[in-house]
Amino acid sequence: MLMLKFETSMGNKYAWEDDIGLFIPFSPIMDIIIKETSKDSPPSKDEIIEKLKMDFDISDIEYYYKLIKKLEQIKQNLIIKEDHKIDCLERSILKDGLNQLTLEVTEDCNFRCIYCIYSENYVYSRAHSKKYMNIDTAKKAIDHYFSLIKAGVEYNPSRKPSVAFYGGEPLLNFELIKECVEYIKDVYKLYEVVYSITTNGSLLNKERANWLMQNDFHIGVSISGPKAEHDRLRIYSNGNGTFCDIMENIRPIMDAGWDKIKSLVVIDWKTDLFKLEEFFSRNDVPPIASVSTVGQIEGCKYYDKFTKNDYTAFRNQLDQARIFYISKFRDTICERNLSFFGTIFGGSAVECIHRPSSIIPHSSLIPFTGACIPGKKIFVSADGNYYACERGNRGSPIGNNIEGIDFKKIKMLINNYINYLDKCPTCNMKRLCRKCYQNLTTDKCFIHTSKGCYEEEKSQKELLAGAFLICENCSEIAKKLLNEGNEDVFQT
Amino acid sequence: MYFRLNPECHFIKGKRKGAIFDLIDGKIYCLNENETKLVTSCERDELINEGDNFLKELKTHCVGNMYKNKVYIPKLNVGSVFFSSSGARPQIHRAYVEINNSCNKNCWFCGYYGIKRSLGCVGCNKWNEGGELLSLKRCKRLFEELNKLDCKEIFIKGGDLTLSWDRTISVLDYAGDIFKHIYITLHRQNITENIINDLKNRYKLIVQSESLEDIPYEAHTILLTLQPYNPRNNRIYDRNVLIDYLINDTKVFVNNFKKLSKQNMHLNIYQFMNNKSYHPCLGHSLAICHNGDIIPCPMMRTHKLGNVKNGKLCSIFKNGAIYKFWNLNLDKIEKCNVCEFRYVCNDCRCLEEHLSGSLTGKELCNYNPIEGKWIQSDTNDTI
Repeated sequence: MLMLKFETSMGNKYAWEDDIGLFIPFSPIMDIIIKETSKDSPPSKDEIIEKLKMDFDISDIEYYYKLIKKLEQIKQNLIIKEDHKIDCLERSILKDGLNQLTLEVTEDCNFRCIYCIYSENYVYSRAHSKKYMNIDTAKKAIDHYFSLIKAGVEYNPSRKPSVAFYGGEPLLNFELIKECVEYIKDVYKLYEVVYSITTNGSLLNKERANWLMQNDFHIGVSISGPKAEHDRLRIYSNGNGTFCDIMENIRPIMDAGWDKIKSLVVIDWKTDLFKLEEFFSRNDVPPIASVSTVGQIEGCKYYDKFTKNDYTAFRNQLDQARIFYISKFRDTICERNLSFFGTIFGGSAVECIHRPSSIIPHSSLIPFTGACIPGKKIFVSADGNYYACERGNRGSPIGNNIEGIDFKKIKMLINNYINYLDKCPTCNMKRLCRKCYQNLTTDKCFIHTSKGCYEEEKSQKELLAGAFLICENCSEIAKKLLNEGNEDVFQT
Repeated sequence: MYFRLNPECHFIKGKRKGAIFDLIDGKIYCLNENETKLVTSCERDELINEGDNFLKELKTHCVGNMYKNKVYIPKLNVGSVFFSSSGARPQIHRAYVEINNSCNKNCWFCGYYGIKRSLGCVGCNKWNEGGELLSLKRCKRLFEELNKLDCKEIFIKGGDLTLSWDRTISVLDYAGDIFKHIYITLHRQNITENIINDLKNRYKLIVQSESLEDIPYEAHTILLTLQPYNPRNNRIYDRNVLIDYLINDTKVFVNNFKKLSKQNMHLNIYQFMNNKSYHPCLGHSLAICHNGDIIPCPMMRTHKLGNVKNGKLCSIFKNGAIYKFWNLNLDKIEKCNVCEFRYVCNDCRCLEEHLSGSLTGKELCNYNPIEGKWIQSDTNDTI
């Protein structure tokens, strides 16, 4: 049995059973029983009870013996999906992929955020440039995407095409965005298209804001907290802060009651979490769509400038914030539940526990890590090359505007990636792992998980212990969030 | 001390009583009122008496355990509760395809006469309906469309499919190259040795019959259609015999058709989790009529969702018409939503609608969840 064991600060022990995709309450008796029953000539239940009864309560031994037998029983009955084979890749993408076309309308940006993935802090990512997508490139990408949507309609008739505008700062190429939407409305008028944009908000003037609302856009604005916090991370190329401009720009959208505007929040080890909690509880600030820590991916140098003390202080702050959240929201649900703490504690805890909890195994196409099957979405660079997503380096395209999606390239990318997952087959948290191509990408290819995967178990245990502590104390919040479902328009 | 049920043990509360469903062992623990109250408070993380005998018994059965602190126990699940913004992809698990509507016989139970029976969906029927028969080409294309929607089981039905046997074989062979599980329904009087040979063990034969006599061959299933008062009711235990009753009166059904009673419930993890969101029978299922009409069930003839002659099968998912039936889980049936057995119960919407006049009506049940009591049978038959 592959189990990852952890304990919350309440003293409760749990284990993640990776083969079944299930969290179970854990007792040290289980380890002893598993050891005994795994022997070549395993002792009978009575013999095990006889052996352990001096140290443990008999009812506990019997209970855990039966529980282990039940877990073994369900493993025998797991259903493996038949079409999760590399030969069925195209079918798999037509069925479950194509969730979004992301157009990088420009590589240019008027910000120089200190953590930006396109900054010198990331060795294996592209640098800032002045590249702009032209309308021919955009139209070809749109045509390819809709041809796939059309081909996939018999596999997935419920899928709504989704077109996202990304950068750089996409509003630097606003005219192209308008042309794209007009083109789609004209040529693909039979489709109900979901539009979204990820913007830094600095160019979101009234006219543009109105146009976006008129066209039913989901607007993701990067806001990293109140002025001091935001301006520490998100600055113009001249070094000035950007907070005031953004808040002024989003005011008309908030005043209009547009509920499709969301905050995309990035934090690092120097973020004052309590100030963010206060800020994001304000009604003039868009609700949070996602909170990310600055990515510690392969080739990231961002954290070099932080000290061990910085990290310790951040962790302490995080613990205090968690205790504050629990004491404030214990078994109550605040109106604006997904405030900052609601997102990083409540929402994250529920996601962390319930996203992987399923007896349905991972797709055997990519059995390890959290990597998607490329084609789940299509990211089109400003020059018309296709990639699995907006992150990571540009060494592994999955197609281009001339040939469209290249399934052979996707197969090669998957096979290549899997070859580097040498540590994964024996891992006890395969289904929990959220690493993907981006985390393991180097300048040449990928890094082997035996080298690039360290202290993962320790951090995963800490994450789970924190998540379970939240849910032990705030079970009503977990129920509410699970009932509400989860939307992921920005697919961060 | 706290007591919590294991992850694999789901507690479902009815109006008066509750039940624990052990999704691994497949056992159902029916609780009395006091036990229901106790388990309800346990699942609400309320403190319990450590010495409680009932909770000790549950622990002995490995249904739950005692804990010193509050614990959080996520339930065993089939598929992640998280979904993407693009929504769930529709999946068809079972499709009924009628490839003709001709028959020379005049069976007393035929759908032609508007007869309702408990398993008419898998039996043969001729319908008093117009419309041109689906072409062979459209039938074949239909199988390709069903395959793209992940269809697992195909039921080929008529009419008398032996009347144009060459056409039937052509359809079967085409479907056989695509699907693993293909069922074909034939009346016993039409089956010859040559027909058996043609089926070559590739297809599962459902034999429609009114008698168990004179069936000299190995059929996958024998669908035995009986009158409600037939004295043989409830006494036929053959593994491959399905008893199909004529339904025209609620009382007769409840008293005689115990096969559908909750005392014969079967717990399966996949079905249980499916039933939480979908109707136990209509969910992931549809039927394509001889004339191309798409309906939710072969017996629900009036609910037309579209026609495959006018377009693709997938159009019914785009206009959402099918979801009215698929999503009709028993939480949406007034008499069922207070029943603790609602995720393991069988339910035939066709018969219920026929008897109650409403798509969400409920007549055929011998359990009263409001009282938590079984309705006594008039007969002395035991199950």
